[in-house]
Amino acid sequence: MADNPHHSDKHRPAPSDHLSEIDRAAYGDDSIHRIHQQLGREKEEPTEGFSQIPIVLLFLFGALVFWGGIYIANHSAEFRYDIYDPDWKPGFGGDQTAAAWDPIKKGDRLFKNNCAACHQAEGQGVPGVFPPLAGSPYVVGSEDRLVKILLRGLSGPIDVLGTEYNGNMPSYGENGLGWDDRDIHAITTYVRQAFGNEAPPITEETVARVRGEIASKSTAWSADELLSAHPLE
Amino acid sequence: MSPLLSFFSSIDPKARPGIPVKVQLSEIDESMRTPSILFLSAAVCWLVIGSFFALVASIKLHSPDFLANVEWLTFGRARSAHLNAMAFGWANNAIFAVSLWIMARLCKTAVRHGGLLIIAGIFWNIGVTIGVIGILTGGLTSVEWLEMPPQVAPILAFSYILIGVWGVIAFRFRQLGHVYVSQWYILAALFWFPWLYIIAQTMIFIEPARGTVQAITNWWFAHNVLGLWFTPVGLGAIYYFLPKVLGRPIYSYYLSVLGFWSLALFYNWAGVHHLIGGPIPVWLISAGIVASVMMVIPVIVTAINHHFTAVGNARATWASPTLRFIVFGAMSYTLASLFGSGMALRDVNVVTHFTQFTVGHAHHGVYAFFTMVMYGSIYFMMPRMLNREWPSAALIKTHFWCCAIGIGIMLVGLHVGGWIQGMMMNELTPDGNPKYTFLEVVHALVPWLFSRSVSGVLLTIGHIAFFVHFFWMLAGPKISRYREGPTLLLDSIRGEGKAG
Repeated sequence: MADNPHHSDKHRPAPSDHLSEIDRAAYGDDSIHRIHQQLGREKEEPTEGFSQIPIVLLFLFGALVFWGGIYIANHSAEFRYDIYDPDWKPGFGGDQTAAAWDPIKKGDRLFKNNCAACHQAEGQGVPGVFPPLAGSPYVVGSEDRLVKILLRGLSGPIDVLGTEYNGNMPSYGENGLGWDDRDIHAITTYVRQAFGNEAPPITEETVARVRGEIASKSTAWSADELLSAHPLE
Repeated sequence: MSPLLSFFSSIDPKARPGIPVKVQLSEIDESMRTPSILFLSAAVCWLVIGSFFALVASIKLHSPDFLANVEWLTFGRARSAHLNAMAFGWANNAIFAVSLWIMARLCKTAVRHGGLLIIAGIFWNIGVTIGVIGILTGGLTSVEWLEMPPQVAPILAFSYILIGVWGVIAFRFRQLGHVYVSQWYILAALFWFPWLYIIAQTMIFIEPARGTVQAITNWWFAHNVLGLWFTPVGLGAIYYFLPKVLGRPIYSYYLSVLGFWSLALFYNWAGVHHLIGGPIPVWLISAGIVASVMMVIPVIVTAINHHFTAVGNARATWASPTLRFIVFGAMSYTLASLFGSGMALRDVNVVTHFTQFTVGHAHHGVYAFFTMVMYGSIYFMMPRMLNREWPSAALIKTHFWCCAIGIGIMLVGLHVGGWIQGMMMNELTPDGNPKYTFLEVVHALVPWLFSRSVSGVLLTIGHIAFFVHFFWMLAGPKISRYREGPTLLLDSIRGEGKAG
């Protein structure tokens, strides 16, 4: 009690009756009366009973814990850090990233999220503004030319399949959205093989080579620039 | 005396000769008066401010043109300002007032240097104000629940420590041997919150962890703020006020023990269920799911304990402003937690994730449970600290009904709307593409989002009633009503000596 002198002297109870204890509290008659108006109606400080826990809970919680154990056993992938599939079982192999990589699937998703707004879901484009991708020689033709368009964008008039278009395509290279070689590989391969196009895929190596070749260029291409380097086939 | 020895002497359970308990309580109430009133005034102001941001954000979701040209109130900022004003302004200030007061009462320890508490409280609110202004002016971070500019974190952390330490000091110098269940919850929460906040700030902003560990830390923090800070204080308050007002003991000490330790054991794991389907090791998610389901244990245990304590006292419960709110909160805790366990299951989560269902669930826990319990606590505390009665039973009823109906509409709207949203987003055509475009899903949601704005208006009316009532009681002329007895909500019970 040496470290807790707070109540010790001030409130030491008198040996006799209850009232004199209260008299010794640090209040005058008036405030005691006022406070007791408040506290007189207040019930005692809370206490706890000691009823037994209902036995049925034991079974319920036992069942829960059992389920939890089974669930962990079936969906923890042996606690490997590199497994993301909850239904993975030993023997499935671990290198999911290599097995799951499909440029068409990835390209499909990239296209829907980035390209379809302008070039439209079926690659048909919008007359006068956004050129079509279906059957376009810029898509199914020179690999380098297509990769260059992706990496720097394209602005100004362009003639596609006999129709004039005038719009802007953003860059997906270092000066734009900054896609890596793999994503460029996926999107170019996808557009060359979707919408009825049947051109061969463009590899990551090709993308990396073209990226190196145009490293010094920082603006969007014009159609003339592209055609002087890579004439239409 | 050596520190160790003095520690052991301080937890010596032998009864001390003392003055009557109620005289001690009145002295404690007196010592807590100024800091508690400060915290509560700030809390009530933040409640109204947060409601305003909530309304703005809610209306924008179905009427995007609303205030579209006000840069400070774009959706992202208004929504984050709402969350932070409510979580750090309303909830934390209310927690400081309620938890420290309950702690001091149960420990029979008056606060001895209340001035420090007041200064820390002022700095806490300055920190929150700067943080919310930072959010509105575009300085917000992209980390949910930690949107305030990281520069305010030190102010908040230091003020918190200066505030929270009073609960620990009260516990350290407590009288009487038995430690009541509310004290366990509050003491634990006082340690859990700073741990969560400081670790999250460190691992996300100060010394950022790499890769997905940041996301894991983020949801560990965000979910645990609810589970290891709001929840234990809310439960501590229910455990205090339910038996206190009814004058009955808590049903079972054993259930209290089981409920507390199973909460402490399981909750900490549960936050990862926000990352189901995300690129983190699958065992971690599975562990989070199992822990979320195991939360059924503390929830059922607590529900039984509260139910058997209150059962048979429906009339007294309904008459007391404190219990009307507290029992509403306790029932919501059970329901919200069971929903939460269900939402953690992968098959359910695949529908509810990224939908309004989750938003509804968050309000189920934070509002229908936690906030309602805090209202109830404040209705009990204020008359004791001010020695006057709540001026108007009508305002209390307005507050209760607006909040109860408002949150009810919101929960139905967001849960049903969110489920529809999730089903629509997941529905595929036979060739494996999404059946509905994003805009179609948005259009289908509009009526449900509108119902949320309606509920927001009701809640705001309730909050304003509470605000007016609170400051009327605080600033109004001292009413002599204390001689007439407590302000109760049923006329026939008035004057029977029930506690408010």
